[in-house]
Amino acid sequence: MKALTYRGPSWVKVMSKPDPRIEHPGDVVLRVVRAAICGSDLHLYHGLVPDTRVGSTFGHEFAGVVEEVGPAVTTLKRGDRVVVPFNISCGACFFCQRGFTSVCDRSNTANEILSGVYGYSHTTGGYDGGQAEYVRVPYADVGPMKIPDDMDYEDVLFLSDILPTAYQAAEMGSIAQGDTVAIFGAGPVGLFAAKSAWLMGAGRVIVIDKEAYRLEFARAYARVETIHYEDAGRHDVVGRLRKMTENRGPDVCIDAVGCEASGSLLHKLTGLARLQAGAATALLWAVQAVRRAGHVVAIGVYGPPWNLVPLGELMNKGITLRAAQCNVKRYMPHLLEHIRAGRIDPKAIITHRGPLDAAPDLYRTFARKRDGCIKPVLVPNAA
Amino acid sequence: MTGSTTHEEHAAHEEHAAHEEQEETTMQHSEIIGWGADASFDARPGVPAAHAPRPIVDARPDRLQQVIGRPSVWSPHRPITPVYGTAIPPRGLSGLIRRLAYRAPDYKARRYVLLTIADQVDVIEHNPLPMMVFAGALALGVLGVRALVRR
Repeated sequence: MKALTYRGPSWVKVMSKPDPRIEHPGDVVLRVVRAAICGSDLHLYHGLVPDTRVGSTFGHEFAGVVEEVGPAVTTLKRGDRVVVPFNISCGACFFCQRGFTSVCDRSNTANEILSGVYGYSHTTGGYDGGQAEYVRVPYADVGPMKIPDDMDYEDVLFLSDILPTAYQAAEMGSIAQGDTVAIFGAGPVGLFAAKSAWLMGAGRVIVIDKEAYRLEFARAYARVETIHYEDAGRHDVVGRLRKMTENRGPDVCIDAVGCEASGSLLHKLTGLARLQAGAATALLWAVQAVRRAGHVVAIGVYGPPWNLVPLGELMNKGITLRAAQCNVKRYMPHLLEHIRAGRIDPKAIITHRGPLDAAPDLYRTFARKRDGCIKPVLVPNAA
Repeated sequence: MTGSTTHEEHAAHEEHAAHEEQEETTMQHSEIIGWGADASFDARPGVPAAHAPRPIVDARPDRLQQVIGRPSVWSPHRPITPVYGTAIPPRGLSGLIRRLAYRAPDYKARRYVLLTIADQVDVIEHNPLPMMVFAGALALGVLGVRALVRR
C-alpha cells in the first residue's frame, strides 16, 4: 500500500509499505477514506517528539471502511463505516473503567504516561497511523464508532480528536454562564474550543493568534473577539487581556498551541538548545493572564522531559491547572448530537483536500501557514 | 479648561465604547446557534471527571494476548500489553541507542536525551543517499568559498 512516511525533520514522503494485517483477534483493518493532518502532527514533522523513527506513518484522525475483521470482533463487520478515536484503549483496565481512555494501561509498551496513539511516535506505543491507504485498528470493539447513515465522513471525521479535545478543554475550564474565556491559538482546536465555550454559556470569548488570516476565520466561524499578538503593544498579550477584562483577567484561559509557540525569545532559544521541550510561551501567558483563582487548561501538546512554567504565579494566584489528552470515546455520542442539530459544523474548517500523494505538499502548506490553510484533509481512497 | 473637556470627552468615549461592547456581546449571544446548550454541568459528558468503574463494552479483548509481530518498543519497566505496536522495529546504531534509552525509567531525563540522539542517528543512517548528496554539496560549498577567499 501507499503511506506517508517520515524521513527526517520537515521531510515526509509517500512510499510503498506492506499492508497492515490482523495481529490480535480483536483487530480490524480499515480502508482509510479520510485522514486529517493535525496541528500536533507538525510537532512530529518538525522532529520534536522523541522516538519518531524514520519510516513511521503519521495520522491519528481518520475514518474509513472496515476491510478485514479479527475473529474476536463482535460489533463490526466488513463494509461498516467507522470513525476512530486517536486513543487506543482496551475499555476494561483501571483507567478505562473510570472514563480515562487516554491513559489506558493496556496499549502502550513504552511508558506509564499515556495510552497507545495511532501514528504518534514510538513513545505512544509504535503504531502506524492513518495517513495511508490502510491502517490496523486494535481493540476494534472498543474505540471505533459506526457512522450513522445520514452522515458523511467529513461530518464526523473530527470526532476522532480535535472536536472532543476542544470540548474537553472547555469542560476542564469549568466554564460558568457569563464567564470570559481566552483561547490561545486560532487553529482548529482553538476554533472548536471557542464553539464549545459558547455551548457552555460563556459571556465573552477572546482568541489570540499571530496569523491575521486565522483570526479573521475565527471571527467569522466562531463569532469571537480576537487579539493579534504582534499588535498587542510589543507582544503584551497579558496586558491587553487584563485591559479587556477590567484589569482582572479572563476567568478561564485555554492553551491550544502547545510546544511550538512564538512570542518569547527566551522560550524559543531554550527550546532550540533542547533545554526544554519546545517553547511553552502560550502556557506562560495563560498563567499570567488568567484572573486570580481562575482556571488554566493545557491541551496543546507538550513532550518530555520538561518546560518552563511559572509555578510561583500558579500557586500564589490560586489557579486551577488542568491538562489532559482527550478521552475521546466519552464525548463522541454527545458531540455527534451537536453536529446533527447544527450547533457545530466541523467540516466548515476544512480548507484543503488532496490525495495521499499530495501529503508532503499539504504538510508544507500547513506548517508554513500558507494559502489560508486552517485544516488539511487527505483522501487516500474513494468512499 | 481644554484638558478638562478632553478628559470628559475621553470618559464619554469610553462609556460609549463600553456600551457598544455590551451591545455587541448581547448581539453575539443571540446570534450564536446553541449558546448555553451545555450551560448545566450535568449536560457535560466529562463531569465528574472520574465516573463509577464500569467496562466500556461487554467484549473483553484485553484478555487475549497479541502473538503476531514483535513489539517495536519495549521497556523492562513495563509489562507487554495485550496489544502492542509493531511499526518500525529498532535497527542499526539508532536501534542500539533506543534499546539503551528504554532501560531508563520514563521519569528519567536520560531516556529522552538518548532517544533524541537516536532520532538524529536514525535520519543519517536510514537516508544514506540524500545525506551523501547533502554532505557532498556542503563540502563543495565550503571548498568554493575557500577558493573565493584565497583569490
